[in-house]
Amino acid sequence: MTYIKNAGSSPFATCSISGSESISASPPWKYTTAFDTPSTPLGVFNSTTKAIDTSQDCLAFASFSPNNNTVGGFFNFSFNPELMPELVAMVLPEVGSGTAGGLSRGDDTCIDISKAHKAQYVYVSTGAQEAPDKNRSIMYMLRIGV
Amino acid sequence: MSYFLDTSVKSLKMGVNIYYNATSSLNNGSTVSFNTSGSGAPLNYQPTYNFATGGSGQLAFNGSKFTLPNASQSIFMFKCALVWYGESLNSAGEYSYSWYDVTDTNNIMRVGSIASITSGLNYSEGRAGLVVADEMAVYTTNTANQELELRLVSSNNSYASLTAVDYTGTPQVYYNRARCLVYKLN
Repeated sequence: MTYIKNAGSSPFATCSISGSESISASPPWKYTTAFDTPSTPLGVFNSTTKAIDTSQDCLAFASFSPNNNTVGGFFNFSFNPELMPELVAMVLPEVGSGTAGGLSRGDDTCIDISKAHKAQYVYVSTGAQEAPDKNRSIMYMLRIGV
Repeated sequence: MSYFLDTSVKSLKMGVNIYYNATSSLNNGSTVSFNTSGSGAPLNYQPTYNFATGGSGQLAFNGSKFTLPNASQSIFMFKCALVWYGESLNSAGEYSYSWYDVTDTNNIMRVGSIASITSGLNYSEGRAGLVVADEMAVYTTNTANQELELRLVSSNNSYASLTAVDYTGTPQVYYNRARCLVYKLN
């Protein structure tokens, strides 16, 4: 008996940032380097829309890390800035300032359910570094149904 | 023997509900409520994937207590992330919270993982203790008729400088809100 592993049937994918695909600013969105490298055929990067497309709905989570540790600031990173953004977005205080502290949530991920996944900055405070830490930023997707 | 390779993309048959507007008194053991729409309804976000609640054989929620159905073939995962909200900009501290099995009021048990949330005051990076990386209280169960509540566990400074477990004013774009994700895996 031969068993051939079929990676193409995976309901999961992790997606990373290569650094070669950027999303131009378009209010309310800010400039962002796109998640463009899915680990399985569940998702395919669309170079026109800068989203990772899936043929069926997927539940997606994205965590983004800036590549800087020298200035203070805040980031809001979201799939959807208009639909209850503070619930589905991630907000990350950039470390190093030694100030702030008014509000924080431990779960620093943004979430989405759709067939086209494009997580992007909504807010970047003045002086904060937008460039990603490609090793720490991650998006993962689960193909779901009801 | 023949073996046919199934090449179809697999899918998790599941629904997701998001509960929000968290409130709690700031004491050890206090129950956290989610006053969603005043009726326990989840966020109307991608409603195709909301699962029904409150009916026969379904998960029930009364604003603070989840009750599993009596004959469910589903598995439920409860994941909640509260926030640290202190009115003082440089408020500092920590508190923790977890799910509790309150089915038997004479034998209430903490279940799942304990989440610990600190303020956003980031002068403590590099220190360790009282912090977990994924600061969510998580519990997975399919126990029939089990009743669950989210409760505060403890605080390192008796909740001093903490105003609430969620922000209820008009949020700024860099604000977070507490959220409770409930997954139903069929």
